[in-house]
Amino acid sequence: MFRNLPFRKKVLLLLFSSIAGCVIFTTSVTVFFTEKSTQGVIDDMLFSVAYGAHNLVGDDYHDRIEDEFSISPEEFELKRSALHEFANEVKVKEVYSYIIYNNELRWTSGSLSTDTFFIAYQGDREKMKKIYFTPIEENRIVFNSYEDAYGAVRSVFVPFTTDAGTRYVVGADYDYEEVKSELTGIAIGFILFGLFILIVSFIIAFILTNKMSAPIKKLVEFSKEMVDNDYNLTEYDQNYLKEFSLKYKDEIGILSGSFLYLQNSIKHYVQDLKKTTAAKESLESQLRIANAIQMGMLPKEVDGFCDHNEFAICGFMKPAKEVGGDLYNYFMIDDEHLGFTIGDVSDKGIPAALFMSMTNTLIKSIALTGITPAEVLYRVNNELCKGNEQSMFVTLFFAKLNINTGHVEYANAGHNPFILLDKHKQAYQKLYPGIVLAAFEDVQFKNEEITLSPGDTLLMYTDGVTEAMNSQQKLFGEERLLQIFNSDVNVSVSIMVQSVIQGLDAYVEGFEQSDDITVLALRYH
Amino acid sequence: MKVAIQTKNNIVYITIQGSIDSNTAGELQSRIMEELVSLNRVIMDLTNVGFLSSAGLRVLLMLYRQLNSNGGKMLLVNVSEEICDIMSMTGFINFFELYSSIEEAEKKFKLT
Repeated sequence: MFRNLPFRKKVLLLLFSSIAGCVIFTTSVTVFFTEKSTQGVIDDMLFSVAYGAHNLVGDDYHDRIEDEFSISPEEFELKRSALHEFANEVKVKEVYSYIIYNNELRWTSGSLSTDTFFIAYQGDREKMKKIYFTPIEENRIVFNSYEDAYGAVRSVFVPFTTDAGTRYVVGADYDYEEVKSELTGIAIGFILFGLFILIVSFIIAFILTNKMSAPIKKLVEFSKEMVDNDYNLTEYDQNYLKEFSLKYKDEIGILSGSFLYLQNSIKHYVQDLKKTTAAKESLESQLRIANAIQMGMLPKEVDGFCDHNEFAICGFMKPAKEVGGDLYNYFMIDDEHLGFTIGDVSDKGIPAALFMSMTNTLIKSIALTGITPAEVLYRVNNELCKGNEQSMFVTLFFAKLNINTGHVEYANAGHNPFILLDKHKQAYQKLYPGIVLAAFEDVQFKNEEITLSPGDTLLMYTDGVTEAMNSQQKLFGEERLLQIFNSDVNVSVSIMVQSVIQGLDAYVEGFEQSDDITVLALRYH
Repeated sequence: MKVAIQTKNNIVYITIQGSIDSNTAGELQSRIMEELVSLNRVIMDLTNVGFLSSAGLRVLLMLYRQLNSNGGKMLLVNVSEEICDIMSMTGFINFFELYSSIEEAEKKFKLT
């Protein structure tokens, strides 16, 4: 409840309750101690009065009492008027004496006109035993406060014993009502004074907090306005805040200063964010275009190979990012020879994609001169080494198929071995490893050869296939790749490529692709 | 990946811990390029490198070529079998010099 109150109401409520608490406490303490000290004074006075009354009545008077006829009404009346006068003089309500006669209380003298000699106590016997008998039974002075129909009374009971051994008690009552009304007056005075202070301080606090919370309210207004206006503040508002920060040297001033600073930072941040987002969007759209261009570089199955019955070839590339560093290509070198290649640029992303397109172009243009694969790699390597400051490199496999004889001549530059699928087996072909392209100048490559029988298939891939990871960080591996072709080797090359991609997808189960994936399959008919 | 580079007796020791892949290769490259001016004789300790991707190989190649062009040398120490296989397959093994301990690599520098 209290937490939900606005700051100003909290302050006012706290002030109110603390002042009220103080007033109540001070009043009670004052009343308590005033009563204590007043009672002390009254008790002393009552005690003296009791002794005075004792002197007026005298021991001899009590020694003579044996029954209700021991004292004549005249003598009693004489004592009564003397006591009455005395009581008036010392301003007590009444004075009296009594004895215990046959276990009963008997009044022996009194200051009131209604008093009668030797009359028995008429009131509550329990009360009588408790109050009136104690002084005699325990022989000690007793003070007592009580309240009856006539009001509050403070009494003293002093026991006396005459020389003859008669025991009697002299009592004096003081009208306590006066003291009580006095105390009530003091309490009311205190409360009124407290109320006055409360009202005055409340008014002052009301005005002060109003003044104090005004700038806070203004700041709240500004913050709402700022959010509504896309984190901008009008010049008027900004000047207002600046004035605040100069005018108030307290937390309000500091807050105003930091509010301005915050608003300024947010504004710039939002502007930056907008710029970055725009740049990012532009980059993304450029990357989309780059992806389309890169994919356009890779040959499609339909690219003029439909009329060749001697072979079938199909490739697929799936970059890990928008653009990739893998490449594959195939093209007719002359009427008799098909050139085909697969490669993988170190690293990935835009730099790799640029390097990939350069390599792709070089391979095709150099291979079209008709030289051997090893010579092609030698020349491409030297071209790529030039100005390769970032030390990019490419693993690449290049081969030349004689479409009439099935003879394949190939050279390898550090690329993964291909899989040869023939009638009898599916196995990785052991290749002379060679050295990656673009790393070291003037290195030699080795020509190797193999002759394909009709129906034989070459499957080439990049390490994005064998090193594809699943969520348990386990690699796809070469063995698993080989097993894909165990079931049926007579399906078309495009289905073969598809089954590799599907096998990979099933293995990684949606785990993020970390490297470009490329598969190329060639079948000789 | 953690990289520690220190120089003793004119030899720069680069100690790498962790995988060098496409995520960490950039950091390794910038750390090495910072020191490049002072690099001449380099011993690279790969004892605690479990994985070296092609991006990592690229950084090694870059350092190798830089050192080669100014007459320096880079010796690799304690290359794991897997990394050795990768270097064989890509032909880097023909150019990089591999040693089984730092002492052996130091001996090589003392002889030249």
